[in-house]
Amino acid sequence: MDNSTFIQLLERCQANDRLSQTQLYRMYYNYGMTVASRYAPNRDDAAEILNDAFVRTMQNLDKFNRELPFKAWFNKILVRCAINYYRRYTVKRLDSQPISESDDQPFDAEILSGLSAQDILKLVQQLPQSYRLAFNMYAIEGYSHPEIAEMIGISEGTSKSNLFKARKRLVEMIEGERADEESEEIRPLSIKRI
Amino acid sequence: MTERDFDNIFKDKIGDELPFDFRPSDWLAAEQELDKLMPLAAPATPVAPPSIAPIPRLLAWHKWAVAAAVLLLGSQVYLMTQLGKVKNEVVALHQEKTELLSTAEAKKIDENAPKNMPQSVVIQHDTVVKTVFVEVPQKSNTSQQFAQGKTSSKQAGPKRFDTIEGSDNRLDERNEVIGMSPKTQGSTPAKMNLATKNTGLNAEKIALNSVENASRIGGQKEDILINKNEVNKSDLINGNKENTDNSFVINKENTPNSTVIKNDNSGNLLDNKLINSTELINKENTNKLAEIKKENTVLNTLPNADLAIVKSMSRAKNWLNDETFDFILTAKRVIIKPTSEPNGWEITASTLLLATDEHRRPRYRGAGGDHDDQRMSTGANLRIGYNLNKRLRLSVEADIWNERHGQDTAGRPQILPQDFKLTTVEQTFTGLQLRMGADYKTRQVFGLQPFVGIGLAYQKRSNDDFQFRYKKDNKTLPPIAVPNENKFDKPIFLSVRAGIEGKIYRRLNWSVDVNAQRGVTDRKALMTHLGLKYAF
Repeated sequence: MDNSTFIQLLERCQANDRLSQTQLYRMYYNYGMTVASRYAPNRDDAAEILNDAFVRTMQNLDKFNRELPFKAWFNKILVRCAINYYRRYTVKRLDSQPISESDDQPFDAEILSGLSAQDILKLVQQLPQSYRLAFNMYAIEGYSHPEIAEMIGISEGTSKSNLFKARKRLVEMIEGERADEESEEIRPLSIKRI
Repeated sequence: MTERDFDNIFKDKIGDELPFDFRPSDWLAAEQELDKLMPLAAPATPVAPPSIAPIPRLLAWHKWAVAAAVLLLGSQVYLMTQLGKVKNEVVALHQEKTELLSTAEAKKIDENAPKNMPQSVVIQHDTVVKTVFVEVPQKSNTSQQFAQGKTSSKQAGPKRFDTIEGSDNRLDERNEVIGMSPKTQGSTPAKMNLATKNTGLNAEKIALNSVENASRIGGQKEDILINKNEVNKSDLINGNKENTDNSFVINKENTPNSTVIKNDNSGNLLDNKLINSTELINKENTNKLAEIKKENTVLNTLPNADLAIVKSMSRAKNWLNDETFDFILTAKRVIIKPTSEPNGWEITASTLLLATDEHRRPRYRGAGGDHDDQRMSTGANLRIGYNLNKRLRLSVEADIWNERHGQDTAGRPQILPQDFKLTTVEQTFTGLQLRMGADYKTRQVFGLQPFVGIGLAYQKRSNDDFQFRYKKDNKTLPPIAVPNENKFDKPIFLSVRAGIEGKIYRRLNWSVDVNAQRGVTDRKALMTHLGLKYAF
C-alpha cells in the first residue's frame, strides 16, 4: 500500500468508517501484538494492550502528522498503553536501592543466539512486570533511563535496577533452561550409568 | 559479552514484527470499545407520521376542555340571570309588602327597613274589626254624589275616612275601609283602622248605596253599628239621642229593604219596617263581617311574621343593594409572561366563572366614622392561555381570598393597610398548584391602590405534559407532543409581586401587577398581570 492510499485509509478511519478501521487493525495486528506481547505476560493481555492502543490511535488520528511514519507513532501509543497496563494491573514492587550495572556477567552468547524469537519472547514474558517493562523500554525500544523514569514515574536508579535485575533474571532463566536440557541429556546417561 | 550485546540479541530476536494469528475476537473487543467511545452516526430517523399516538389524546382533551368551558359559562350566565330575577322579585316584594304593612310598631321593630317605606297603611293587630264607621255627608247633594259613584274617598274629603291622629293614610282606590266610631264601640280601641286589599266590604259602596234611601234626620253624622252580635235596636233607633238628625246608612247594595231610620227624638220606633230592615241589613252584613273577621284573623297573625319577614327582606335587600353580598363575573387576569423558551412570551386570559363576595360584619368602628370590615370571596376560575410558542394552556382555578376594606371619614372606600390573605388552588390538567401569600395594601394614592405581596407556591406536575406546539421550521407538520420542559422537580417556588389597582366606575375594577417567581433551584418566571373585575 502506497503512502497516499494509506493516508486515505487513515482519513476514512478518522471519519469513523468502521470498515477502514478494521482494515487498519488487521494491517498492524502483528506489529501491535509483537510490541504488546513484550510487555504483557500472555497473549490475552497483549491483545488488551493492542486494543487500547488502537482505540486511542483512532481517537487521535487528527493529531497524527501524515508526513511521519505511522508505525513509529503507533509504537509510542502501544508503549504508553503498556505502561498504563503496568500501572493498572501491577502492584509496584520497586527496588529503591539502585544497583550498579558495572558488573559484567560472563555469558555465552552462542546459547542466546541459538534461541528462537518465540523462546526469547517467552523468557521476556516470564519476567516480572517491572523488570519486563524496564528491559523492553531500554533494550528493545531504546529509551534512556531518564525517559523511562519519567514515563513510568520512577527514579532513574530504580529503572537501572530493574533493568539489571531483568538481565540477571534472563541469564538465570537461560542458564536454567540450559541446565535442564543438560540434565535431561545426562540423566538418561546417568541412568545408563546406573 | 557485554550488556549491550545481550540487549542487541534480544532486540534482534523480538524487536521486529513477529507472526501472530489474527483472532477475530480481538477485533470484536476493539470494535466494542470503538462503539463506546466513537459511536457511529445514528441513521436518519423517519419523520413521525401525523397520526402519532399522543395527538388523539390531546384532541380529546381539547374537546373535553371546550365542552366544560361552554358548560360552565352557560351555567354561570343562567345562574346570573336567575339571581337577577330573584333579586328583582325580592325587591319588588319588599316594596309591595312595605306598602301594605306599616305601623309605628313595625317601624320600631324594623330599624333596618328603608327610610322611605310607605306609611300609608296602618294595621290594627290586636283587635278583630267588627264595626264599620261611615260618615254620612251632611249635604244631600254630596250624598247624591256618593250615590252616583262620582266621588272617591279622596274627593269626599279627609274627614270621611280619616283615621285617628290624622295620619296620612293614603287609601287608594283599591283599598276598602271599614271603620267604626269609638262612641259605639265602647271598649274597642278608639283608633282603629283596617286596610287590606281584599276586605270584601266596600265601605264606600255601603255608604253610597245606602244614601240612596237615606233621609236626613238630624243633619249630623251618626254612628251605625252593623255587627250582628252587637246590634242594638235601640241604638240603631236612638243612635244619637242628642241629635235630632241622626241617620245611618246600612249597606246592601241594591238591597230593597234598605231604608232609613228616622228618629223623632222621642225614642219611639217610628217605623216597624225599620226593624226588619235593620235585621236584614245586619244579616247581610254579617256575611261581610265574617269575611272581615277572617281577613283580620290572618292579619292578626302578622305582627310576629312581619318582624321576621321584614328583617329577612331588609337583610336581603342589604345584601343585594348594599353590596354586602356580590356575585362577581370577571375577566380576572390577562397574563403576559416571558418564559425561558426562545420566544417565551405567554398571554393568558382568565375568566372567573363564579364568585361570591360576602361583606361580613364590621369589625371595628372607630371614632370619626372610620370603620373596616372583612370581605371573604370564593370563586372558580377557568384560565385559558396561549403563548407564542404555539402552546395552549388550560387550567381551572379555585380561589378563596379574604380581605379587609374600610371607609374613610368621607365615606370613600379604601383598603386598609391590613392583612390581605390569598389562597389559590390551581388545578391544571397535568398538575396541581397551591399558592398562599399575603399582600400589603397601603392607603390610596390619587385614587389608586398600590399593593405589594409575597407568596409561596407548591406545584406538582406530571412529566407527561399535555402541552403541544407546532414545529416551527415545518408548519405543515401536525402538532406534536413535546416533553414537559418544566418538570418541576423542585416544585416549591417563591413569588414577589407589586402592582396597583383602581376603579373604572363603581363596580368595575382594574389592576396591573408584576409577579416575579423564583424556584428553589432554577425555575424563574416574570409575569405581568392585567386584571379587570366586574361585580354584579
